[in-house]
Amino acid sequence: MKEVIAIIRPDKLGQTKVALAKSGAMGLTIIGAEGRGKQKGQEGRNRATGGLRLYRSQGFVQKILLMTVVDDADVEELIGKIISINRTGETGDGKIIVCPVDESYRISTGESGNSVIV
Amino acid sequence: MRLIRAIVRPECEEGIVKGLDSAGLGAMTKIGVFGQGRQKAKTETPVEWDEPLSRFDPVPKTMLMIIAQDDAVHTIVSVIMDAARTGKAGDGKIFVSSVEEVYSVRTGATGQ
Repeated sequence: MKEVIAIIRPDKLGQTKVALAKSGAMGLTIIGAEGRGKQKGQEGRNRATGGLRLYRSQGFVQKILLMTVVDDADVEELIGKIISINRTGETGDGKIIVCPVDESYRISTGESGNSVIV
Repeated sequence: MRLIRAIVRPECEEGIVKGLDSAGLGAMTKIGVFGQGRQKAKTETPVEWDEPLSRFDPVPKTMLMIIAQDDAVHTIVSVIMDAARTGKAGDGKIFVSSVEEVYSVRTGATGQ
């Protein structure tokens, strides 16, 4: 099992949710977050303000953090989907982090192992 | 690659960001969270409305998530330690865990 953490643009959340649901309805946790990257949150170009630079408090930009735990075999497909939907080519598209998961449990039944995530 | 999760006082966040900026490690994600520790969210400095009930209220904290190279972990942890320490209970925790792979959504690049 692997934990996939994706930090994406808030306006891409709807599309991403639909695509992940169609691909087999994996469990998904969505957290509102703020983030900054190498550019310290100053987006080079912003479509909404017609190319004006944006300076926010300490350079933090609104982001959405998606967390899901999937089987090892599904990681590649999931990442491909997230990247294809969320890529705009501009800075601030986000990052995807893959972490190992040692154990997982379903609280309602107490079962553990791979059956928890399907 | 390592994932550093630091749960700190919200008011300490500005100092941490400045400290990491000057170390050239300014990329991070920030989440507002609530938590309690061993003291069950009792504060050392009593607040005005300090009633028995208040110790069951989780305390607001800020969680910073930082992806770092293995050799930068020590620098980041010490910057956070310096900026977030007040010496009182409730200063927070720092967790470091392993990461298998990192992808950039814009370029699709992996790794460093």
